[in-house]
Amino acid sequence: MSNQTTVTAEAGSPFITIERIFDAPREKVFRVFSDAALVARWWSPNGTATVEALDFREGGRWHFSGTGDQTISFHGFFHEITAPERFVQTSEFDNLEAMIGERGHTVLAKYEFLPTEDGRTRLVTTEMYMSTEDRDMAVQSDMESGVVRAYQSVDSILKGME
Amino acid sequence: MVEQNAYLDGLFGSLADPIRRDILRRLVDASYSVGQLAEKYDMSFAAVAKHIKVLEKATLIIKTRRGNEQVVSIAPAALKDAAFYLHQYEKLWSDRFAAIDTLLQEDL
Repeated sequence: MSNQTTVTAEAGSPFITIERIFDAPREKVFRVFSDAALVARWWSPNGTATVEALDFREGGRWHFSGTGDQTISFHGFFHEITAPERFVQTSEFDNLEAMIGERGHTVLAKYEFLPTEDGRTRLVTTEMYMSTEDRDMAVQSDMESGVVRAYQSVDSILKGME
Repeated sequence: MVEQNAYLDGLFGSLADPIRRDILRRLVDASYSVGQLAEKYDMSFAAVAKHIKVLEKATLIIKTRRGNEQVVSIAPAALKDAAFYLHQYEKLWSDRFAAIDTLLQEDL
């Protein structure tokens, strides 16, 4: 049984908070997020991830793409790295320009690796979007998670009702 | 307003249970008969049917008849709801974290 993942997105706020405990010390969990070969193994759990870039130092660029039902791409820069406690990065969903015709929807994200009393790690990710609308759009357009397939099944449901 | 709140209570209440969330996840990909869904869980047919009933009451799923069996599908209205999308977002991250759990078992 996996540990519980808690996602919090209060209505009317531009934040998303994601919390999860890992059964490993934080130095090890931190490596999973900062090592290109390791990121490639978890970032696209239902498809194939390619780490195009992961220059893990302040000012360094990251760029991941994922191939599942569709190809998605995200990139950004590391603003602050305080290993193994925390890193802060920017993030842009590269497909968005094709979807809505503009850029300018960058996300600021903080990853905190907090030690628990029993030697495990609580990861707290805080994402801050530029507006509540951006936040809601991100949650709704998350292609990798099956929403596109969901729309396809809605289509077939609607066809079945005709 | 009261009706809206009652709707939301039903929605969140029905999403609070891990089995019901799991049923919803499966229905994103395909429709199943009640019997097919019941086979996937280590609990009685009646218990699974009860969960399906809760989801139906919250208008997250719909039941249609195909021959002799009842087919359960996700309700189009449910997909328009922010709570549903958030649930999808949560699924992406919980899948990623499950992959990380596997990595953490190795000597990194």
